[in-house]
Amino acid sequence: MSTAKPDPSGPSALLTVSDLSVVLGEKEILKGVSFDVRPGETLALLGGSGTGKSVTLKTILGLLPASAGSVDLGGVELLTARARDAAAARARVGMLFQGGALFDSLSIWENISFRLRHAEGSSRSDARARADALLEAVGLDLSMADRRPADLSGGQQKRAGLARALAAEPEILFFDEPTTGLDPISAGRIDNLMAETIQRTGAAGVMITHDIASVRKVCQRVAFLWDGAIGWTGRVDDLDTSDFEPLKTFLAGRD
Amino acid sequence: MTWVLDGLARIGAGLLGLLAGLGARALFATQATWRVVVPPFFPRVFFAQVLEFFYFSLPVVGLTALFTGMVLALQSYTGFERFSAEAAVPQVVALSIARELGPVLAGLMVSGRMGAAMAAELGAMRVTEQIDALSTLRVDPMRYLVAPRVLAATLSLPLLVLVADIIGILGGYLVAVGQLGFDGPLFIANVMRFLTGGDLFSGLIKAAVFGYLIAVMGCYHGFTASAGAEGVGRATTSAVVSSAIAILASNFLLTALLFGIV
Repeated sequence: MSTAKPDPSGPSALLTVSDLSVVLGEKEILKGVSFDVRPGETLALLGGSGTGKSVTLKTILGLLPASAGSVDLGGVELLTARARDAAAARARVGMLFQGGALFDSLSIWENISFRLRHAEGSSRSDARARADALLEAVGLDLSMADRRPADLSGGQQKRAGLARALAAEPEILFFDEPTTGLDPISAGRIDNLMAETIQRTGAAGVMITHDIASVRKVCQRVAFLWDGAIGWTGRVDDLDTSDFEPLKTFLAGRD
Repeated sequence: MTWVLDGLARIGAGLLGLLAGLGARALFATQATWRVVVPPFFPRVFFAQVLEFFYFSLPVVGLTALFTGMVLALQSYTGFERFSAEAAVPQVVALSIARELGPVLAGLMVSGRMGAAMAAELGAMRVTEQIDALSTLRVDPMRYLVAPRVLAATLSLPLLVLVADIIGILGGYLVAVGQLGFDGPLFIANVMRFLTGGDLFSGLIKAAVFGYLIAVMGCYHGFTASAGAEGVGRATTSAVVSSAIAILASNFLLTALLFGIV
């Protein structure tokens, strides 16, 4: 097995996960996951169903408890820091959820500006202006601002979800299965949008997906989860020449 | 001998599960209550919930109270007629509605309507990761989703019961005057003479407790929902059953406390 090692010549890692273990109930989901992500790059976290990709992201976000290991986010050790410090560090993360996870009871602009209004104290007019700007940035028509999430297509919901994740100008973005369930055209648009966003903002990205085409478009490095740990890591260009059998099986679509 | 030990182990496991469930609900209730009294608050969510709990529950609670008052007048009349005590019908209707039937029936109707709605809404939010999304947006889900519902339910149900009391007594009045030949002003005079502030107050205290329990149970089961649509369905059923049991059990305790029986 190879371990994700930072390139000494590049910028220092914004997120470093070391030997992260997670036990849920009786089941050991993660058995020592290690990887890092640097500003301006997107890491693909690949793996078969049930290998713990979403669990990894949710543990970093504090939504699930870790049983061992460390998570360093911008110099703050999240698993041992005081709750307030850990929350402040996690505020640097934006998350695009698999289904968009937009709040059904709020309009699209209220969804996008939710954090600005409720956690950052922005005025209604400022939040609206920011939401409109973000709608344009993700290629959604301004006429959608006052609609409810149920009135949007799956691809539009993902774009609105991305706009919401970008509202507080995060330094690192998590993408959870961003193209799952989308038609090829919508998936291509989301891929382009994610790649452009990372390039434009200089943020770091972590994407979990089954979509290899999406990985090739958006990501620079890959970490492959297997048996609760990172089984293989390397550049996207090296994916096809890897001799790690479980990865080869995964890429062949036999997983 | 092994089957005895197996049986005891099963009983023990069941008991531990029951205690763990009670503990989880108590912890959830404590966390919710803390967020009700300590800012920040979300007034917009609170007022939206008041509208749901009070205004939109009025028709179903009002109709329940109306028919209960009507039935109560008929039943007490036919019962009291046997020993020539028909004149006590207004007092019985008023006392029964204010002390017992108003809060309990309103509580049960609201638990069916709002307890289920809360569990379904929060359960759907849980399985579609909307609750996780709140956390990533730096908003405490308990504070945003649960605390306003708990406060709204605790304050709205007494108001709802007050209206239900009036409608229930009106139902008794309609039957007593329209069908049983009672004198209208005398019916009202008897109600006013026998119904004390304590009777009304005890019903309203019960209603506040029932509202709190309905919201806590509805939110707890929604918050802990899992496994997609099936899990949301289970959460909804559990919320209604749990809150109905909590209402009936706490009703006994409250009655004993408020009327000094224990």
